Amino acid sequence: MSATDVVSRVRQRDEARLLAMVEMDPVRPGLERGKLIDYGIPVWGIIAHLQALTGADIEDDIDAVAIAQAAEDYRIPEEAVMAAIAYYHKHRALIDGLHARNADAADRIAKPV
Amino acid sequence: MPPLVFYLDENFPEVMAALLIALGFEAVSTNSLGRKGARDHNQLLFAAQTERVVVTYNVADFLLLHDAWRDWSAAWGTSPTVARHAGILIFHQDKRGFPVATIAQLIADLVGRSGSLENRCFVWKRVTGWREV
Repeated sequence: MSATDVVSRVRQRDEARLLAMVEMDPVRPGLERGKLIDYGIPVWGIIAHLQALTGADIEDDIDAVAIAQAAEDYRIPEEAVMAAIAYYHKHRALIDGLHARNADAADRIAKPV
Repeated sequence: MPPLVFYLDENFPEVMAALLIALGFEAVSTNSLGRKGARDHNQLLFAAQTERVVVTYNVADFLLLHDAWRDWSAAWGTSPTVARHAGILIFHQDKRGFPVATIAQLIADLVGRSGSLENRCFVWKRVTGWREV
């Protein structure tokens, strides 16, 4: 087995462990509504927060500082943030779609304060 | 006048409660009250019954709830003094980098400018600032 294969298997095992920390929301249907089992926080919210913190898309190698900041902001372990990122990578199109619907809804509000 | 009390939706960072308290408000989170997992319409009803202002990242669903609250109350002739919620503040996050402490200050600024938030819904987006529904 090559070194690359070993790394790949370790990553898959880690991904499976992280994904096990996320469940479907029992009252809101749709994979885009997945939430952290132990904390009840929807993945899409954490991802939106992370994107705002970093000013970027969530890529594979998102920086550790942003993960630590999100964990502190939500008062959850960094591993839980990483679980949200793993879930996002698996269901990215759906979660991006939810974010886009929120953006469209916000754009409809025209009355300035 | 008693301080405004904010109710953080489950999608919102827990740290916001401490930041709002530091600015002189009261704030509680869904999680701190053991209400995580409650449906959005139940969250709004709970917030209204306990006179708390909802703070959320959930734009589409809470805009719909606010519209329904307002339109159904009017259609059924319900008195505005009975069918009222304490306010809904919605933040739309984008990808331009934004520290969470700034959100607390934006809330304080809105409260200072807008007076009562009762039965009102506001959306904040970076490019537009605060907008009222």
